[in-house]
Amino acid sequence: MSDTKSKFTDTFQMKLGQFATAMSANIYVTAIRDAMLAYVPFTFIASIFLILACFPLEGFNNLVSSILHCEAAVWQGKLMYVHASSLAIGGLLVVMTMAHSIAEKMKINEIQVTVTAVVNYLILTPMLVTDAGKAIALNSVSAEAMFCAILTGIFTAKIYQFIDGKGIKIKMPDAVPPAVSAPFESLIPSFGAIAAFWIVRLILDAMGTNAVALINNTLGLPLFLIGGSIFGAAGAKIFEQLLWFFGLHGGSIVSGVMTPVFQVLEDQNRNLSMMGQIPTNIISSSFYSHFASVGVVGGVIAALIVAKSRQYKEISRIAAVPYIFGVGEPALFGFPMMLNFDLLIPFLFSNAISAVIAYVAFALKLVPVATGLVQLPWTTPLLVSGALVTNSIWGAVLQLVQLIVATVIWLPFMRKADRRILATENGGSAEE
Amino acid sequence: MRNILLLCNMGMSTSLMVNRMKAAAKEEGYECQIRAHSLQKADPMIEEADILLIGPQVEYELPTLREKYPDKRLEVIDIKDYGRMDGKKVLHHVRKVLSD
Repeated sequence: MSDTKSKFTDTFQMKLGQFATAMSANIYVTAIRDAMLAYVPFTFIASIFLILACFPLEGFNNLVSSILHCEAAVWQGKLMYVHASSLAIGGLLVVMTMAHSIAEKMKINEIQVTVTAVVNYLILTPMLVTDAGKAIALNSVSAEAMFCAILTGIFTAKIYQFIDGKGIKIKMPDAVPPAVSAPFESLIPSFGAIAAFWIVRLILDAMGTNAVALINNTLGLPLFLIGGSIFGAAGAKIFEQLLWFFGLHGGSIVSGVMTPVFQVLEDQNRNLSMMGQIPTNIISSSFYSHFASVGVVGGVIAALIVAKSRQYKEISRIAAVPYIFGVGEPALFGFPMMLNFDLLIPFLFSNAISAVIAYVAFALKLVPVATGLVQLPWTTPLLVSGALVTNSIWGAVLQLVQLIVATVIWLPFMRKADRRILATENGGSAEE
Repeated sequence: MRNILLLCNMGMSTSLMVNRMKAAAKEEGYECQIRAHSLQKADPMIEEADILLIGPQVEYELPTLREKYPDKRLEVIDIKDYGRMDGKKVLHHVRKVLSD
């Protein structure tokens, strides 16, 4: 590496490092990320019940029906209990995880803020008046209302913290036990937060709109336009890779911003699938997790094929198995791929290229779009994840094609990097 | 007995390292507990750890952690050792730092 290059790299690395530290020290970004981390396991759990209820094989459904001696619709309906109580109320779940994670970071009463946020969230949610009494429509508290949930969590905590910090509290006499006085102390901050949201609701009523519609049509719209387009998804992937190139955990830094968008898009797909229609959002969280990251693993395969140097041979063997489950650090730090300018181009772009290939395949309807019914952890191995999220063997075929293309892209770069290492190994100037 | 805690974003790649370090510790008869955890929810574990090892990919969390735990021993795992999943070297580094 030449001097000028390394000087530029050092400066750039420092700047990106500062950016990453700033992001990780920003309580809003990290609170959103943690809130999504707490929510996503429930999407996996609900997926298991959902895929059984909406199983694509008639034969399987008939078999289960004959074993249980009842109509398919009956046992399928029972499986859906879990879905209606988890995925279908995604917004309600996120308002809780969001309020909790931000209260934790603000070091204010977590349970009090969480419950207050749920109250505020429901204040913003118009209720239906039915013959059986008042009701909340599930779709008004679904993942569709994710941004409303996130904002409710943040603002509830903000108002609570503000009043709490002013020290306006109901003081109990010293003789009152702390267990009795504590709930009263948090009364005024909660009251203030709830009153504020009530006023917001009154304003929204007067405007003839509701919070979810307003937020999704203003703040949400540009986010969906960017996040839901191939340019946004591929751009986010390239930025993630750029951070990784400098040894920073790109996924963690980008996910705070992008995960809510991808989750909402995923949820729209799920809704359509459940109504028996074809899902429309090509870009979704399943797309981003399972079709937009197939690139760099091609580098490990390329190394397994062409590596002649001891170092690359050894690392490609160490790195291959973790990478089957999406864990890339051994490859990143082992070859290393980070700061390795011989590998810069495929490292930055191969994931984005895999995303474009997938996008084209979905857009041309060669492969059915991810249904949204099955959400899998990003550690699910390739091919398995592709088949399950699209509910089609073609999803696995698509990943296989992506893998082959990625490997071909990596081959010449890997060969060049490997020969350079081989030369130093043979030249005797071995590693320390 | 020493308590060693490895931290990264999800505790995924560090858990690979933990297995390698455990194998090395067993070989050397070094008494220790080694665990990996996600950075986000690690607070109670951090309290009881003798040393924190941070995955190089989350090195940017170091300033935040330093501020939060000014008295803890904090080390970023060497990039090369991490890539090679060289549990032995990392364990030796730990022993050197703790002078065991």
